[in-house]
Amino acid sequence: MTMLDDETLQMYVEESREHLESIESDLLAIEQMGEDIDEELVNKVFRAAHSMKGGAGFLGLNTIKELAHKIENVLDMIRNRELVPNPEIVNILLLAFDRLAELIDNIQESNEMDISEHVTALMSITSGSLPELEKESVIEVEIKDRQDRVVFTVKEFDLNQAKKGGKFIYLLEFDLIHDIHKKDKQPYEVIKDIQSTGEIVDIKLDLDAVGTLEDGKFSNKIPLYVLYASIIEPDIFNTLLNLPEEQIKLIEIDESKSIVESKEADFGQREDTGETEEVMDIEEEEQGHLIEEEIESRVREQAVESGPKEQVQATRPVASSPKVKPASLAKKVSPSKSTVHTDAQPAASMHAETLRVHVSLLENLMNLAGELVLSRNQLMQAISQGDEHEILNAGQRIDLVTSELQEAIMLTRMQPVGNIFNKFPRVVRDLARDLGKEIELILEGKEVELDKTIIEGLSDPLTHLVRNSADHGIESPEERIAKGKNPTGKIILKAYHAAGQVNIEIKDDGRGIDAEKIVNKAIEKGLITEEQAKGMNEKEKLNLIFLPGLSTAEKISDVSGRGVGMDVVKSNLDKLGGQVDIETAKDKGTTIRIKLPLTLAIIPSLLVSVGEERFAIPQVNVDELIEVPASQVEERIEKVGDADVLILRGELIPLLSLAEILGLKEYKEESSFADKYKSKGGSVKVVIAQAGSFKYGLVVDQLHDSVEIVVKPLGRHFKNCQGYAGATIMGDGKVALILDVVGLARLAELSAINVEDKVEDRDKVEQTGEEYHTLFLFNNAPGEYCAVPLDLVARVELIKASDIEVVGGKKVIQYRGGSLPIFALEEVANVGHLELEGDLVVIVFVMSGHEVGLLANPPVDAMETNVKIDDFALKQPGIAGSTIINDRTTLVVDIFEFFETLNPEWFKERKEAVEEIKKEGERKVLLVEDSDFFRNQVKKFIEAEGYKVVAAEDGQVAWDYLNEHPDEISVVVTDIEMPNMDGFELTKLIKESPNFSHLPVIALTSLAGEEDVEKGRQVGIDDYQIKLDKEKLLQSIYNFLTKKAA
Amino acid sequence: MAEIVKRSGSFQASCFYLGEALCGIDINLIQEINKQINYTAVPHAPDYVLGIMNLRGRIVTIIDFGKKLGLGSTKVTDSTRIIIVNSQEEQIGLMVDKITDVITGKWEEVSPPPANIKGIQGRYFLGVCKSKDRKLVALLNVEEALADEGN
Repeated sequence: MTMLDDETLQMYVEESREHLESIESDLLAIEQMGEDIDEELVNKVFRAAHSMKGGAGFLGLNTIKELAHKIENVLDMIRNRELVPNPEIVNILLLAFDRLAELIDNIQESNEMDISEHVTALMSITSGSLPELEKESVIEVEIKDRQDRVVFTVKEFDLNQAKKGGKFIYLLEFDLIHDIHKKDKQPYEVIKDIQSTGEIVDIKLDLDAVGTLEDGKFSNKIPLYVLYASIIEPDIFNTLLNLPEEQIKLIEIDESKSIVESKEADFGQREDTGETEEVMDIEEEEQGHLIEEEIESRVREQAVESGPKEQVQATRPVASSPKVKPASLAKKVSPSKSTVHTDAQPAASMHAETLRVHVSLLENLMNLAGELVLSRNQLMQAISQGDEHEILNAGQRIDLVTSELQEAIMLTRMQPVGNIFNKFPRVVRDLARDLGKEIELILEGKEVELDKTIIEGLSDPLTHLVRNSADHGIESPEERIAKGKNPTGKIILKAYHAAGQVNIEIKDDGRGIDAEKIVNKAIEKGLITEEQAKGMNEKEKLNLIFLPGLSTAEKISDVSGRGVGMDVVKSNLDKLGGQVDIETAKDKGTTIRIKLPLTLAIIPSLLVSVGEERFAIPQVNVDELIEVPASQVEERIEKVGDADVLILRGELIPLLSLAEILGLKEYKEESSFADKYKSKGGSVKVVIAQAGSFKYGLVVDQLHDSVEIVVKPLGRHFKNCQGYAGATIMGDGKVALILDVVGLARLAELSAINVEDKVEDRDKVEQTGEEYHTLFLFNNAPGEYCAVPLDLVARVELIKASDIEVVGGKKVIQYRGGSLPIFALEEVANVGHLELEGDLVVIVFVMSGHEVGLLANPPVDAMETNVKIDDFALKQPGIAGSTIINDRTTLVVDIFEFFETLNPEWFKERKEAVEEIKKEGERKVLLVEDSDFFRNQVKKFIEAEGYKVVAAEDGQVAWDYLNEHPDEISVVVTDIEMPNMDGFELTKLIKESPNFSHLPVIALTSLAGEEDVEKGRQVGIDDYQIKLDKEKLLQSIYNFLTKKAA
Repeated sequence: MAEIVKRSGSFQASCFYLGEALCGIDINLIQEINKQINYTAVPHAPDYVLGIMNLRGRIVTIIDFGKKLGLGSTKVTDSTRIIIVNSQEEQIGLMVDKITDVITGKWEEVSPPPANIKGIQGRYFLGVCKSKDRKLVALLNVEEALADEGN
């Protein structure tokens, strides 16, 4: 059978998939509507099932045909309002469609696959809801052709169903050779065509009619029988199908006797009713699909007018002329044999994947290709003539065309993310049913397009995340009500563009993720140690969820909790170049944000080189680039344990030498890291690489430009090479390897946990020494170096002196739609004059809720330093003291004092309030702080506020003082890291002691304090404030004191 | 060799030297022979992989064929060539010492390979045939020869 070639089958499969795609959401919509059936929608699903059935019959895919048919029956009853679609029914339908999809996916084996379960379920719906009478009529009837051969055996019920709505049943006989092949049609097209005007009840290819060699003479036809129900009247039917009359037979069923009589339509005789004339008119206008549809709709209109039943009555006499055997039996058909061929399946395997592309896009591509050829010709010509100007022109044109071509080709690969989103309503619905929850799923940004490969790779991780949200995130309705939430949980699945990437968010309003639970689980499973856990901040704890072997589901359910989960999600997304970010709040919900590149084929990358070799690092993995000047190498690169780390704004970043990992240079064991890392100029060039949840620094010899590269896969001989994501061809035709930063880290045996270890080690070192703080450095007058703690800086803006306006005696700049007041240091402190010329810097602070700017001269810098501030030598209003940074005396600005002097009214309000409190009695603050500088600073401003301050150097001293003076202290302000007894221990003692548990404890943290917050909460710290953020600390003290008083 | 049984009819083979061994590859498997030897080394790759090369926009893995077959490294000289073959939908460049000529033979006349030809294991061969000047040519089974031993 050449007709049933792979292509036809493939076409059928593709089309069926398309049908199946939308069915799920349609069915869910039908379920939602319940009794108020949207007929259009039901019809749509019905038609989908129907055309699948039709095609399957034609291709001999009996199992598919049967299942589709059973589905169709149920849908038909829904359509005729004989059945109300309840969740049970929709469920059975959904499952049946699922099975149908499976059958389509395994089309070659589909005939052997079992569908009995679904058939029974579907049958039980149809028979269960049928009136008794109809149920009995499950009698099989034989449909015979003009030669009285039995062609079909159909259940009468099916026939009756098909007849509903005043349809006529026809037996059509197509000849694949004469009617289809010779007319240059595709059999499948024909089937589709006739489906547009009616329904195929059954379809069969009669291979036996072809005959065999033994028969002596060959039949020259391959009959395809179609049992067809259509509303189109017999007298115009043949013109519609373009079939000879003798190949169409009208089947009549005498319902009362359950006997089938077949009568021949007299097609030659047309009744001159107005109706038919009208149809005739249309007919004359050339046939076409559109017109056919029009006919159908018109006929329908008429049918409605006259009422279907009557019409059947009215037209029957026309159709039922006496039985006459057709005279055209000249074409001898060999008698049918009893066996029916259905295994006409092509054995060859599936075709390669295909992709649907819009024709206009293809045309655009063609155009561009033409353009490219043209430009090439011009270039060739210009080269042969040596016309440099023309060469240049042609080069530019090619450049333009190429980028357009690239874009157009990328577009062909783009697919809407809706392709995968659309399956989630079903997933969520099923889950909600299984789990007894009420969940509403909201899909946003379905139209956002992503590269095909990404779409494909995204399906599994997204399913997992959505399931997680439904299973773990959303609580049961009772629980939600108890929490005062809407009993219906909400999951929002949203895609949107941002910064050249596509973001996908899975957001639920469930219970949130309990970071502690994850930590405990991770400790329990031995994935991390308790020490490591202690040093982690909230985010790091959450990120533990991505560790392999961690599953927090307490009960193993079908839905999740099989111990594989987020790690797989993560690694899948890593492969796609995606990044995952979790945000969660207890009882508020969880948002998981996935950032994906638009495409994997072309990515912006940073070029670096080691020796002669160039490498590309995908830009998404590059956090920042650091060049440590030769003079700072010794300070900023340290050895911790056996690892080298870079100190970057107080963070410790493990360093890897690219040359060393790749074995491009030989190093002696003892070679110092300075020798190891230094590039030619003596500086160390570091790419800070973001590898999933952790960062590391990759030391290279040279940093080059960022370029867009085309990713090419590496051959199979490199599959054991970690560290590469592929290769790319550079502008000069040479090949460069693309580095896989995660793989490199793995090569160097560096992992997130590992890094933690090192940082922890380092923390220990730190604790014994001075505290580190990051200072923001700037110049006031030229050569006058100043610094403020970086924590206090809200933003830094580069401005031109001409941007400054003087209004009402005050300097302001326009800033974010408003005016930002700016001040120069000299207005308070006795410092050099800052000229309002050229480029300036405004350091923005937030004071008492006001944004204010401090003028400064560039360059600015941030640097970590162990603060040893001399608060004597250069102390003056607005200046806290001085310190030595980079061998220069640097003034440390007391930013609070500065602004307070300038704008005392901003701070008045609370001051007055404090006076109020003081009337009720003296308030004493116990300040515990080991660093002299901070102790004095903080003490000073608390005292300035009007409170008494008792200062202690460490927790032990403070505890002793408390015990000696039990009733004296109203509030405790303590540092965390201190010798002898740290802030945590002190707080624990206070909170556990019956005498002091009422005391509010405010902890002061330095920069790295974030990870302590959670720990602090556990031991009972009431509030956290950043050291030197005087404003907030005072507010906090005030709040606690008034709260207590109230 | 089971495969030799299946093959019949005449064939053409491109012949080349790997060290002392005269080998041949079915000409249908060869895409082109390249004189340019300009590749980018790939650290951590198997030792027989020299690197990767840009061949008109496609990345081609360059293999030291001598080394792959256990003959030791191929020295780059003026006569060194890279034979580009298509294997499992990727292009692979085989570095050989010297290209000789193309021979025509019949599969029926190819004798089964001995266990070892000048140091190359027999499993890499389809068989042995004679060249015009009566030299023995070892016909290589490219897929077998390129199989990566890692797995």
